[in-house]
Parts: sequence; C-alpha cells; structure tokens
Amino acid sequence: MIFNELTFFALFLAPCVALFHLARRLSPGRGAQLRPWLLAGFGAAFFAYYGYHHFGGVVGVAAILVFVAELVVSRWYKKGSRLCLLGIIQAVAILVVFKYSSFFSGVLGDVVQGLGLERTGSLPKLIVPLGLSFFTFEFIHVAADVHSGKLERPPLDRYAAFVFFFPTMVAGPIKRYQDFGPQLDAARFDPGLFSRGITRILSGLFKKHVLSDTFTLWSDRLAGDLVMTATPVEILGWVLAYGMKIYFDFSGYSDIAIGSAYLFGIHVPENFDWPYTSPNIREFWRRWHISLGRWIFDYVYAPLGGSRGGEVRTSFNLLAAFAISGLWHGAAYNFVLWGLWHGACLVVHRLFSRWPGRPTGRTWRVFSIVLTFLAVTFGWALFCMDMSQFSRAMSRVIGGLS
Amino acid sequence: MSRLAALFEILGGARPLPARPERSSVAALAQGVYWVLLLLLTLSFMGRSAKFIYIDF
Repeated sequence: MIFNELTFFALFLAPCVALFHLARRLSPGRGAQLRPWLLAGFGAAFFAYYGYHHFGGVVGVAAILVFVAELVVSRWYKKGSRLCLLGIIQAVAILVVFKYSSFFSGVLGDVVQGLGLERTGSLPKLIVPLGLSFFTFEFIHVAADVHSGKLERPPLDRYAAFVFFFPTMVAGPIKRYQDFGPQLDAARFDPGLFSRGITRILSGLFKKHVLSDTFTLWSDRLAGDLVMTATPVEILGWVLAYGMKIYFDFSGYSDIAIGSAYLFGIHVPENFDWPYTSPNIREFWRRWHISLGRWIFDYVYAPLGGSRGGEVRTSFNLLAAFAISGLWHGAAYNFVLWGLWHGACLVVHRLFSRWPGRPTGRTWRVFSIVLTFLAVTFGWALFCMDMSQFSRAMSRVIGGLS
Repeated sequence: MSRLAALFEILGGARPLPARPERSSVAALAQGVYWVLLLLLTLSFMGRSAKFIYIDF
C-alpha cells in the first residue's frame, strides 16, 4: 500500500524530485527558498490523497488539521517554555485518542469486571490518521529538544518541510530535525546518490514482494485453526517465517523511504543493520528499527532516569520503556507483552553482562547469536498472535514436547 | 562474512560502490540490467499482498 502503488511514483515522487532540483537550477536564490514549501506542499497533497483513499475518506483528509495545529503551536516554542510541554501533551493526546481510546476503555472494562462489578462498554475504534504513530513522535522530538535547548525553534518553512516530508511520513524512519534541516539547503542532484536511491527503492520492492510475501505463505498459518492441529515443529517454523516476513517487509519499506529521500539528495536515518546477527538483545535493539530505538531511548528511557538509578530502578525503566514501545506497535495486550518480553530480556542481559565469569570466545559468540535469535523469535510469536491464539499455539507446543 | 554483508549492501543500494576514477559504460549497462532484473522479478511476484506491516493498522 502507498509505496507499491504507481500513483506514489507518478503523482508524488517523480514530480516533486524534478521540481525540487529544478527550483535550485532555475533560480539559485529564490529556488532555495521555495524548496521547503515545495516539500510541504507535496507532503500535504500526499497526506490528503492517501488519507482520502486509504484512511477514512474525508475524515482522513481532515486529519491534516493535526499538522496545522502543530505548525501553529510550534511558533511559540522556545527553551524552557511551557508551550513546548503543551506541544508534547497535544501530540500524546492525539495519539492516545485516535489509537488507544478503544483499547484503554476495554482495559478499564476488564479491570472493572475483574473487581466483580458490571463491565463497562468499550469506546468504538476510531479511524487512525495516516502515519499517526510516526509523525507524533517527530512532533514530540522537536518540542522536547527546543524545550531542553538542544534545538533552536525551526523556521516555519523548514519545519513544515520536516513534518510533511512524504517519503518518511507514513512509517518512518523517524527523523531528527538537527539532521534534516541543514540538508534542505545543502541537498543537490548527486548522480551517485540518485542511482543508489533507485537501487534502494527497487531492492525494497523486491524484499517486500518477492521475499516477505513468500514467507507470508507460511506465517499466515498462525492466524487460523491450523494451529490446533499443528506439530510444535510446524508452529516453530511458522513463527520463524513470521520473523523473516516482518524483517523483509519493514526493511523493504525502509529501503523505499530512504531511497526516495536519496533522490532528493537527502539522507534520513537507517532503520536496520543486520539485526538477526546480533550477539545479544541490547545489540539487537541497536540494529532493529534503529530510529525508533533511539527515540524510545532519548524520549522515554532517559527521562525516566535511564541507568542513573540503582539496578532495580534501571530494570523498571527498561521494562517501562519497552512496554510503551510494545503499546506503540499496537493497541492490544499481546503487543504490551511483546514489549515486556524484550524489556525482561534486556534486564537479564544487563545482569549477565556484569557477571565476571561469563563465557567469551568464538563458540560463545555463535551460541549467543543463536540464543538472541531464538529470544527474538519467541517475541514474534507474541507479536503476531492475539492472546487467545498465542495460548492455543503455546499449549500445542508444550503439549507436543511433553 | 563481512565481505558478503558488504556485497548485499551494495546490491541493495545501502552502501556506495567502491570508488572508481571513471565509471565505464559497461558498469552503467550492468546497473541498468540489474535494475530491470529487480523490477521484473518484483512485478512477477506482485499481487499476493499490498499491505506493509508497519503502516498504522
């Protein structure tokens, strides 16, 4: 969807790239001033077009008001200002209302029922605006960094280009203004980078349609009743297939986003660096969805206190940060458990890495890569199945092994 | 292993080709053939699924 539609290339990417480079050639002075507005204009049109077609029709288009509100509020951002905090609250509130109101009301209902009272009803699921989970994180980054003095308030045209930069608007990589802003002036047509951009887009499409969709043939079996009759080995194979599917799907998506940015002469953050070869879970999170991992570290884990407290406090911070990361991936219990599983693995790794007698050497490294891969794979079982399906699969696996 | 990883990264566009003083027309042709091959393979496998997992659902 979107990145594998012809309209993305014909209506948005190709014309915007051409005009972006032509603007500077035709008028070096004014062209440079026009570029941010060009990106913002195409980004707004992109949001409206795909919002209308895939994300709720007119309501999906109206969600563009969220960007307008952010651009207006951001004009008052300055170091130490409470309006920065208002900007953060605004972004979090938008995310919670659209994505989590139904889930949280369901959780409340579960709690009330657990207390023996009459269950309260759940709120209906709302239409989630295109790219909500990603653009709100970029809003929070800018508000928090201006508040702490790490970033000067971006000029309106550049900030509009940043938030509306359509190659990364839908699903990242989550950018930082400090990296993106200066590139708006410096970006120029670079044949080598342009060629790499095309290669990257094509290889991203290859990963999605040839590799990921092939693994889907196996991983999809986890969703149905086949789980009830499958052997433990079959279930393990399907979960492994899911792990490969999600890797090729999201890294393919990221390749297209990064490659599209290359066409403008702009570098956006990398998202993957051979994550399945990581020797421990900490390393895994430095190589898997890198831009999200850094965001969670900077804007959730560090503000909670990071590793500055004792072991107990640090462990709590890790679990809390990864529970939030899990919830960000989806409004359901299984995603929270997935996050907690990774948080718990990180706590165990942290304790283990401080043990003076821990093994080392080449054999241990190979073993630790396999162990990390298995831990991540178990996590995918939580990620890809809801709680009832996960329970059914686990009962089959445990039953089959015993 | 690192050489193999580097090769995949070059093939995927994540890593630039090793610097050459001058790019030959043969290299440009090879690049074009590679792009067409990737595109044809992708087109021949398309249609099984359109949705990317990480787009909000």
